[in-house]
Amino acid sequence: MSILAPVIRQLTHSKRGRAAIAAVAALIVVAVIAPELWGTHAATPDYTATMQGPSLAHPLGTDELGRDNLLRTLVATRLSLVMALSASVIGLSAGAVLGALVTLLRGGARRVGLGAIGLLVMFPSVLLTLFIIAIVGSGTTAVVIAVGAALIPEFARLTVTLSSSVVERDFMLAARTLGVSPRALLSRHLLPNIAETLIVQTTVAFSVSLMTIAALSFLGLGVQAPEYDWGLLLVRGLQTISVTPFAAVGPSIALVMASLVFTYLGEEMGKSFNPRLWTRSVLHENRRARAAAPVTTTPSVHARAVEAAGSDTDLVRVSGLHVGFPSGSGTVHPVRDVSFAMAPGEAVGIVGESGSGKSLTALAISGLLDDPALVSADELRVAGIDLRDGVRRSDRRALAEKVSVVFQDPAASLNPALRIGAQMTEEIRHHRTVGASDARSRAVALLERVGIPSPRARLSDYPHQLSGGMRQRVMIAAGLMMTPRLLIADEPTTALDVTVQAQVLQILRDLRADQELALLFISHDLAVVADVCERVLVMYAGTIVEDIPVADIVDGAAHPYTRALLRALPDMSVDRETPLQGIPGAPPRPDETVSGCRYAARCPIVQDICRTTAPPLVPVAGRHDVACFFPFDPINAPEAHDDARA
Amino acid sequence: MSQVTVPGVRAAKNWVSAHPWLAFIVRRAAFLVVSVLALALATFLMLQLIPGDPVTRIAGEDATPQSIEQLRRELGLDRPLWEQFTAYMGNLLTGDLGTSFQNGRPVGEIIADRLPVTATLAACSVALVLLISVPAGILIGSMTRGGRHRATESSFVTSTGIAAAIPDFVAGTLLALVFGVALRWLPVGGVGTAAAFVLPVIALSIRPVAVLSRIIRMETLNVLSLEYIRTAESKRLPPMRIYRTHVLPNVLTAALTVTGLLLGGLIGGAVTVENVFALPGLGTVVVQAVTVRDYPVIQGVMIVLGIAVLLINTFVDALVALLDPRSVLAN
Amino acid sequence: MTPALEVRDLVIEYRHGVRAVDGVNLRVEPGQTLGVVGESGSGKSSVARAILGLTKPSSGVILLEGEDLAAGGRGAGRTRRRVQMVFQDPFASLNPRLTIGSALQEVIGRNAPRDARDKPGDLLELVELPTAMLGRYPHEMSGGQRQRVAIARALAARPRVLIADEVTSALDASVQASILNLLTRLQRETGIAYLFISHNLAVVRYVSDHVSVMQGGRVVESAPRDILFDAPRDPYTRRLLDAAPALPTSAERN
Repeated sequence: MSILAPVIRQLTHSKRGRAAIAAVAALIVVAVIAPELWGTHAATPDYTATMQGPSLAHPLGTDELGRDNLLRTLVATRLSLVMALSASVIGLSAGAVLGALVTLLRGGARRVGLGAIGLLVMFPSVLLTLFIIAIVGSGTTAVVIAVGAALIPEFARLTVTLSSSVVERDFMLAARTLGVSPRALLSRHLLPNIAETLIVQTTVAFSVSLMTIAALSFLGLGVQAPEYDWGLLLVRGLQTISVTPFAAVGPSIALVMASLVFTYLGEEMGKSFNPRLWTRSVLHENRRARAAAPVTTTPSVHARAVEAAGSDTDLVRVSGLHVGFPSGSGTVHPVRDVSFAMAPGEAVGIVGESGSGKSLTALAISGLLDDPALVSADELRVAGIDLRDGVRRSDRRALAEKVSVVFQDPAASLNPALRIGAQMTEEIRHHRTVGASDARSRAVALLERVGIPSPRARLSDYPHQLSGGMRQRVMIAAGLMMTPRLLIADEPTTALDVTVQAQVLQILRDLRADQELALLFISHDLAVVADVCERVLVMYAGTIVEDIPVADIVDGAAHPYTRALLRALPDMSVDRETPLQGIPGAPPRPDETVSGCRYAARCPIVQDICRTTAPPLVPVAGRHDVACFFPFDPINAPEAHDDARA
Repeated sequence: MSQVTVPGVRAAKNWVSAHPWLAFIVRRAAFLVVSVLALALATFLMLQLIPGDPVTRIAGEDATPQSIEQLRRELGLDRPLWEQFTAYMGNLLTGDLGTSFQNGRPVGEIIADRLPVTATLAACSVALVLLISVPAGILIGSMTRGGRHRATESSFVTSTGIAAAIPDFVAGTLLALVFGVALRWLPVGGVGTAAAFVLPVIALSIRPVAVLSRIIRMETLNVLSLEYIRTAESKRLPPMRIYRTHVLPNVLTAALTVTGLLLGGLIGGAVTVENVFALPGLGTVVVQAVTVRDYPVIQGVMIVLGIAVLLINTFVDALVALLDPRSVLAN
Repeated sequence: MTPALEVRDLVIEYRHGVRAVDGVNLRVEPGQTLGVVGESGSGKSSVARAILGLTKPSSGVILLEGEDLAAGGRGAGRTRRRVQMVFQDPFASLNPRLTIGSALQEVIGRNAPRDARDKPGDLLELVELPTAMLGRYPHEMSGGQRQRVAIARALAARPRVLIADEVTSALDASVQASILNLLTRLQRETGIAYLFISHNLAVVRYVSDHVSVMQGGRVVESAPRDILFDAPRDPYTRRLLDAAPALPTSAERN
């Protein structure tokens, strides 16, 4: 079946997958062959050789009837595996069916079903097994039924959880809308996407069954003589352990090994079900080829530009910032050679699409990039603190006093288990010796400042009791507790509604009007950045391509990428009838080495030099900084530009 | 289709929103009561579900037809089902768990005698498991964050994997052999001294320690990657404080939930371990009862252990709700 | 002229008497685009789900080219298929275990191909993707490519109305432009009508012929696009328009 094909392919291709399959196959071979070869021999008593220790003839000694322990262990494989397998299959099939039925129920019946399953899951499975054995009796069949039945609640619950979540996923809704038949919905959409977890769970159930069945035999409730499984061999061995210790060794090792082998198989199967791991030889080759070329970093031409323009009073000085991550094929560099400076009180925006490196740049400047990120820079100075080697203990307080960070998703950025008041005051109470009530008063004042009603009551609320907009205001207020000089905001309004966004942006503007607060605002939305910042850094594929005042963007954007971005935006202020223009192609990936300008492959005015030399970020005709050899010049050559390639 | 909102329902829902904690308690209490009833029903049905004629099975192979009928009358199995059930429930409510087939002792007495041993075993094991797994899991989790210390991670995963594959009765027997018989450091079998519990507790705890450490490690890694940890780091709080205030509570919540389940498993494991070390607890008595089909004892033990499991789970839920009030308040 | 899609007095009520949609009227003309704008909680996604039949409305009528979608009967399934949807999250709307070709073929079914929309390769060409992608899995494609596949898959069902629910919200600006252009071109070529749902006013302004503004489960204003954006009447509409960020104005933009 085409659904399973890539899974099987993946499993058989990986080394570990093959090892797992081989181990299981070995077990199965022993299970099949051993009883045929040695069954009779292992059951025949030999009264001349009873209770012997290990020897060449009997590596694990003999039991009280003179039978070879090693052979008996091997022969017992079949019964042990078959019993465990049968129990697992019972648990899986009955449990999955039960779970599916409960999923299909509605309302009250569903709640009863879920409650019953929940209750049964709580009950210890050993007790459940004993309960069933008390009803059906003991012996091989009884044990299989009991152990299998005890597995049903867990499988049922898992099936309910999985089905409920998959059924609501978009691709299921799409399939239903498209008129896919119920049979196909089940077999191609629902089942394959829950099968992975169920199959892994089955291998776990197999190990558990092995152990439980052995335990029952140990307790005398399982397999009865003359049949024998590992559990029965074990209990006999343990009874005579003071005389012949080795009798118990065989079944013990067999149990542990079989359990491990199937767990291992389960793990490998789980991995091979993950589509992201389905490698294609072509993709593989490309990745290897790209990795072979060394990653060269261009000389820090930007650094010189920053040095020349900046001064010692700069609030932020970044020069030659690189951020790298170790990966399978070397290091990838999502941020390359970023340089810029910020004056106190300045509002600077960083704009870029996904993969531009803007968030990582912000995190590096915030000093929040840790292992495994590799941050290197010629200069990385924020509020006078050197962050090139991370945040030193001695710098923590100074950094907390001067820099605050606001993140994108206020729901995730606030600890859901702590009250607002605690989260707002913990920083100031730790770094300065401020008492609880003073800290809270300050928090209330700031909450009022950002427009939150009933601020004192809000301190005792939990984050989930507030709306998204309120939470973000709380984040901003919390960020102001230490009166920072720089506020770094990473996509602060992306998750908010338009009207709420406008309010939050207004708050930021008001704050900056009140006090000298510098703002580093990261966003994918150029219009939002233009709303609240004076200056914009446009990032592409890890590097800054343009550093331009907001007022000049629309008419004076010089870099071809910035201009292309403007042409792609359906902006509110623009003539409606102008067609939008997308940018064909895609940015180079962080692991791709591109010699020359990283935009060259998509640039409409690319020339030969662009492909060989990376353009430095330099001022253009006394205006602003651009990283391009052929920047747009509105004064001298307004028409010649943006044309299709020659 | 139009929905009718009954005024009473709306009032009830308003009350629930206004008193979330009270509603939580009421909900859990109701669930507890229903569960105990279901448990009682299930144990009652045990006898009824036996294939064939239960009385014949109980009476044994050489029982005469007269003794079988007499046994049936004694057991009350000749009366209608409904009557049997009400009698059974009535007995339960007054604390009468029946009398053992084997020796005529009241089941309640037998259980009261043996409960302390099982309870001690389980409680000590839980304490040991938590004391080892939680710090170990958090430590390994924070060490291996971001792919560091790969070697430590591998050895941790391998050793816990193997430890989790060793059945508790195997571990118990090996411990008994090495420390009890060969080295004679600790007593094996019987009870009376604290030392007698050492080996059984260790045997019982090996698998849960392995499993729980792994889970706690995964949960630690999970929590460490959450965004509010990054917020705390942006406040430049010292790592110890971040762990204490932000990481630990949320890891504990997950750990508690799993511990609730683990406790259930521990009670099950206690059954086998007691048998290995011949401890006079509920485990040994229930296995023996199953072997000889002493149904009153089986029913009694199931009910008592079942209620214990339910109470433990309710307690754990309450603790989790206290640590993380989201589930209570968000209704 | 019969509208391609009409919604009359739609009400969707959930438990506890909460009304996600409280008497909504919408109208999409054939071959045209109705933009539906609203913030979170406006009910716009609930309306979409009701139109598709994924949620049962509490009351109201939904007409597709004059036919009542709620009416049962033999052709009901076929009628329902004439309205399709493209979802917001391109990563979630494709079954990760099916190749693109399988996903398309599943919709086409087993009938003999009548035209381009019955051949997977041609469908991909329709959305400007190379036919080599037929053998690929979703995780091997970019967000924009997946969205194109989602559009192709919807087209395979030959809908008269396509609901686009925040289809570009998860995409980069440069990719968004291409997708919007694609949708415009497809509308020109096939005469399909769009119900374009978005929270992004600039995008709605660009693609729509008519616009309806939703708030709190109701439509607060409905008008042809130019009138709504130049002379909004409802205070909420005005607040929405004021709040939308815009680049610093300039006469010409090139």
